[in-house]
Amino acid sequence: MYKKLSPDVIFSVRRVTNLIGLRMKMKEKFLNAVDMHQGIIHKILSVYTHNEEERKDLLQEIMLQLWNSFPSFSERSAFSTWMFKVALNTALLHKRKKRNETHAREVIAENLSSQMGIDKKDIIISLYMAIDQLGPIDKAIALLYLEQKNYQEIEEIMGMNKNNVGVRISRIKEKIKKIFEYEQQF
Amino acid sequence: MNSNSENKDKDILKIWAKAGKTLNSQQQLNKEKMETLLSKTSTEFSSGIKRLLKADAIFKVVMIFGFITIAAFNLNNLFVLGTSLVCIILGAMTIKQNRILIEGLNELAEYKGNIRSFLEKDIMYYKRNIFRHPFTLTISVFLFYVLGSMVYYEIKYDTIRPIQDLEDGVVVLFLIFSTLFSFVIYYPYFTSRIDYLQKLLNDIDHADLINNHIKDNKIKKRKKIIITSILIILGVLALTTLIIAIF
Repeated sequence: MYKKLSPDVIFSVRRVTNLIGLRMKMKEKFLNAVDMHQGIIHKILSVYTHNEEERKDLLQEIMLQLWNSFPSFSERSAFSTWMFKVALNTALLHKRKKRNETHAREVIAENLSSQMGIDKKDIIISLYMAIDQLGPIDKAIALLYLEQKNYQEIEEIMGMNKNNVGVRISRIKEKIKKIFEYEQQF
Repeated sequence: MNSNSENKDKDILKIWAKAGKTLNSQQQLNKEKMETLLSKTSTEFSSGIKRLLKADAIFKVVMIFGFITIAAFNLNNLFVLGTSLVCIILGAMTIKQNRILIEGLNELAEYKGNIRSFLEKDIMYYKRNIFRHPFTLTISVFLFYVLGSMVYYEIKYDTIRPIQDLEDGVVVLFLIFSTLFSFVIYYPYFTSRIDYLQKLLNDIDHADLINNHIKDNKIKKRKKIIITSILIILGVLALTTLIIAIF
């Protein structure tokens, strides 16, 4: 009654289902890894965006870039290091829209937990505002330093000259400290 | 003094560590949110250019069919046959260019390396194709204008003729103007991108540079908007003059 499928057809169907299965497994693995390290994304968003709309756009872009380049992720390096590379690069190249400086404080405050005390919130906001005063590359280096990445990792992520990393970090630290103290006065 | 500075460093690191744990629950990503984000389209510069190139290639294919149709209705008119053939070849050649450019952009999307190498790769790609991008997009405007003029002559005079009088001359002038206008619009789009990427790359190399790149970019954007507006106003004025002159 039913025509028997040829071995070629069976092979192709198996291949397709295997590929779908592999893709689903890969997606699951990807979502779990991102879920575990999502703090990195939120910190990058807080540093590189200035309003909710921009935040949503960049979040979407980072997720898409991470997913598109996930097949190229080699497990020789840590997932967080690879994630930093892709997410920072996306943030650096992302189209910037109208910047609303006065709104920046409020946006950061809204994104922080409502259970947190006002004093603590203010300190965190001041720190974010201090980082915000830096240029795009300095912001990236500051983020990596604050995430306590060592010099070698920063070098690996940024592709910077070895001698530059130390000098650059100490300058950024000084800048952040100065601006942070100034910000805290408000 | 030194230990005071170290303590401040540690304080900042502690504050930062806290910042990561104090995110509003609404901002937290769950798997459903992540899946929704993955189903959306990229708004990134290269992805935008890729979509533009794909749409442009489809547009060219449509116009090639248009030229074939026009030529089919004017088999005895050597001028139409010659012009259509040139336009079809030009269209086909630039469709191939579109494909090469899209492949190049796909390669850019492969993240293998560090931020410096991403930037270098991007700069190299855009520098290599600094004329190709605007050229291939400009050709579409050129083809559209030629096809549009042919259709206009066919409908108005029932025939397509080579340049004979002032009206034909004005049509040719407008063809040159619109082609140049299109190139002038597209070209800075890519040069400003290279400038921005180059500044970021320089910033990685030179710690002493003042990081005002975004501000610079904004000023350039404003300049671009002003130039574009002036060109549009000039175009509209020229078109109005032409319409008044004809009727």
